[in-house]
Amino acid sequence: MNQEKDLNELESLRIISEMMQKVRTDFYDTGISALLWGSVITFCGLFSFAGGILAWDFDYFMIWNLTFIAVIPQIWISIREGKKVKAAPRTDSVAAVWMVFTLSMFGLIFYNSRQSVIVPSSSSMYLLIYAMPTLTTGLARQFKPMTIGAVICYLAFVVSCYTDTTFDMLLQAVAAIACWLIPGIILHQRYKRSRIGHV
Amino acid sequence: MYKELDPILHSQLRLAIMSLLISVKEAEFTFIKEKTGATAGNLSVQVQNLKEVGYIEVSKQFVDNYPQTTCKVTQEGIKAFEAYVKALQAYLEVGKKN
Repeated sequence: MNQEKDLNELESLRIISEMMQKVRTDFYDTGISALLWGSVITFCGLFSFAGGILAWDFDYFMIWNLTFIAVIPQIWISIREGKKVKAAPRTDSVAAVWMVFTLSMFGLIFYNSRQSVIVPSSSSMYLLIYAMPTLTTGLARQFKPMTIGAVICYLAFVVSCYTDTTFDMLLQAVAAIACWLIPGIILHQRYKRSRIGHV
Repeated sequence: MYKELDPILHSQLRLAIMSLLISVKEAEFTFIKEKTGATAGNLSVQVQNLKEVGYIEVSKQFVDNYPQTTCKVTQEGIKAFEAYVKALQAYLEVGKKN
């Protein structure tokens, strides 16, 4: 593309679509994170299975603490790979999905840890599930009201692990207002504004 | 009747650079060079031209003792690109009718 020549309209369109296609198929992933987590979870699962089958007389479920240790190399891998990325995507839906997954895993671990004190009601799990699509949509579409709504929903989930079912219902309502009602009103107002001028 | 095509964008290499940058948040100079297949010298000139009209921002920094140039499309650049694509569509519509 070093020789400048006169462009016609079709050539211009070809260049635009060719370049956009090149970007779409470029994004960098070494697969090291997938290898790390695939290995760790496989090992922990098989180890626990063997412990159950062979009736080991020690707490073989402790092996799952390896997943916390694996977070350290994961951070290092993420930083190293981040430096190698030569073009940052405008919106990265895949990254959003993995971020939601990570937050939800921490939420689940927190929920399980509370079970040793009191058994939180199942409404807590609903709150955790409400936050997932809300945060994914908020991040992927860069729509702040939904991102904020999801954060409020995660907070409501944490609080609900300490409250009884009656108050959990109040938290459900708060989460629904933050996740969907307010973003929905904003979206609908935007939609109505966009219709002005159409005939 | 016709909207005139933006002369800044109506150039093979500058249009390629803008098409790449419009699809990403930001991109390194080496990435643009690799994707467009342009020489560093030619690319550098066209990047400078786009920067002068305010269509892109260029930032330079040192990473691990190596210089790194990063380019990013501006709001003005996005508007110009959208107007260029609309004008192209208008030309193609007229071409179809004739």
